[in-house]
Amino acid sequence: MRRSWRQIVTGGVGLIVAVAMAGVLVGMQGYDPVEALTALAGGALGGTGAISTTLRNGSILVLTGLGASIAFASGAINLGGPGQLLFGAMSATLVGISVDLPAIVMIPLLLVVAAVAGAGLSGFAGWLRVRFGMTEFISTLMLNLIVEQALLWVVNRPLKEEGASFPQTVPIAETGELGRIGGISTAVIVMALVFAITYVIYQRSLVGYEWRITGKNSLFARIGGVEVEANFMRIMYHSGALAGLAGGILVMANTHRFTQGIGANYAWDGVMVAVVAASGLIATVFYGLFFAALQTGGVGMEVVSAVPSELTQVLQATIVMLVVAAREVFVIVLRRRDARSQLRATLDGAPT
Amino acid sequence: MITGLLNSMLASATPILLASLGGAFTYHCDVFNIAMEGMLLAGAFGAVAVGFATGSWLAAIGGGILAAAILGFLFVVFAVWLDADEFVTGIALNLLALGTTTYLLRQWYGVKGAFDDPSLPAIPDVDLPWLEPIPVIGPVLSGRNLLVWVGLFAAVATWWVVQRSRYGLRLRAAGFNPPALEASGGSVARVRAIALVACSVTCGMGGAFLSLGYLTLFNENMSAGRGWIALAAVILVRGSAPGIVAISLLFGFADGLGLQLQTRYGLAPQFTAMAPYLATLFVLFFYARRKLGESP
Repeated sequence: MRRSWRQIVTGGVGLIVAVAMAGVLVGMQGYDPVEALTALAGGALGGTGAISTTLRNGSILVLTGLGASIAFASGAINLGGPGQLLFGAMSATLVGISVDLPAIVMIPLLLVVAAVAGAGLSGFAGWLRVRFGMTEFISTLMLNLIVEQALLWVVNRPLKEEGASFPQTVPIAETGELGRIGGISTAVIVMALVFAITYVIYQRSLVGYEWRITGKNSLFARIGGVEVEANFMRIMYHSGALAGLAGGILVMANTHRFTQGIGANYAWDGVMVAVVAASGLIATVFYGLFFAALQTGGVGMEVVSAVPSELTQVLQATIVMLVVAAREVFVIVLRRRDARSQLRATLDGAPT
Repeated sequence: MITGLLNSMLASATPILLASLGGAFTYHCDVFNIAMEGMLLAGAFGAVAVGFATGSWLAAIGGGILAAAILGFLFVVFAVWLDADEFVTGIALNLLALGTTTYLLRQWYGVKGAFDDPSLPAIPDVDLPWLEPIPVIGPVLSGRNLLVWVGLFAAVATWWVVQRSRYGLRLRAAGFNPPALEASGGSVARVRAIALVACSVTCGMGGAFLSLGYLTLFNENMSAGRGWIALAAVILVRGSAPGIVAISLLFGFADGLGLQLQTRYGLAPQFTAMAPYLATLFVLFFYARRKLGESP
């Protein structure tokens, strides 16, 4: 209880300061802060179209965030989100352009393909660690860069759409697209389902308990009979599957094909979401949607008030720093208060 | 061909060498500095920004160092003073650097992607005419960029400071046994702060080399993982300066070899770009094997 209360307070403080910071940043650049922030809010939440875009981008961000969160909370430093997302997106595209099945089969198929691709890549990094002792922290980073280049080649050479001026593949079959229901992107349904599954596994199952314990104290878990290596592989698979899925949804709900530069910041933003949420699953959903709202609103803000949308990137990183700082200051203050009350109790002669 | 290979090897080794030498300082005092990627990027941008404003390459190098030092300062505030998690701080700082440079590129110069301008000053090359008649060595050593030489001297300086100076002793104590350092009157926080300043300086120069030494332009996300490679290098050689020189040259060699394969045999540039990342994985593989052999 106390931990979640603390999170809400620090999160709230972070958000208020973030909005104030945004106003100051915009004002410093010579724009009207009120106008810009109103445009930002309008761009993110004004109307069904805006809300749908926010939710769609938010779904992708929540999935990459969840992937990072469960890995970090279980002691696996999977920084391979960017590569796993790209790999998932490309795999979904590849299947999506080569087969044409009814939507009821096609959509689950593409989602599974994307998840398996992501899990395969993270599993490879996990295997390098378990088999050869190569730390996943560096190998996932290097695999990101290698996969990025490899897929850049694929989209520039063998799979490049003929006659296209920009490196991109042909679109996937229409039956594989995640459309909208009532104007709202169905990506959000997939995200909600995946979140529910992840939550149950992580918070309510034995294996999830083992992961959490391993993350808190790996030695304790090992002595307590947890198969740390097998669990490490499971975490890597799960975490990579989430990132791969995010890539699949990106293709199915948004671009409908693989393009050069696809997925730009989703995965690293997901790492940021996990960090700011302190790897809490519910907090990850909250911050993922919030950051997506910022990004979507930023595009609207650029149209209305000429403030470059890249400002939201600065803002996001600033929020992360502020929330982290608020958390630390809060801990320091609490520690001092505890120490003081303990001292007082000792001086009063009361039992401590 | 050999001199071409050696030339590109030195050029691509330099930013990694400079960054990892700074990383050696933070490694020895037990700061897990994963902000080097952001420091390199900030350095590259700071150099271009100051170089564009003043037209002086020397000021540009200073600008690169200053930009990296801003990140270093934030790292000190968060990870050393506030005692926040280093991993979290580093990730946030990297993204702050990426976001800010992208934003300022758009805001100041009105461009997305890349900025280049004829008025950007290039960091000069050092010609050594008396060496040039010597085959292989002459053409390789003469005409190298100033910062290549700075990198090599920085390697010697790093070795001396870490292994032979009073500060180096404290630095290693801060990593090896912080309470002992505190007990003998030193300040762990201060030692770590100085190490981060040193790291900012070298990363700032490494970044300046990327944008104004190797090329004369700024690209969005121009550091392209070199800070991560530097971090891997530092961990793999356990912060030893000679080791860092060797491993940076190895990465540079992989890069240069890729470039040669591209120009001579028409290998796709995407594959040659992978070379240093693959090299990192290979080095990691052999390092891990050796370590497994030590403790069966």
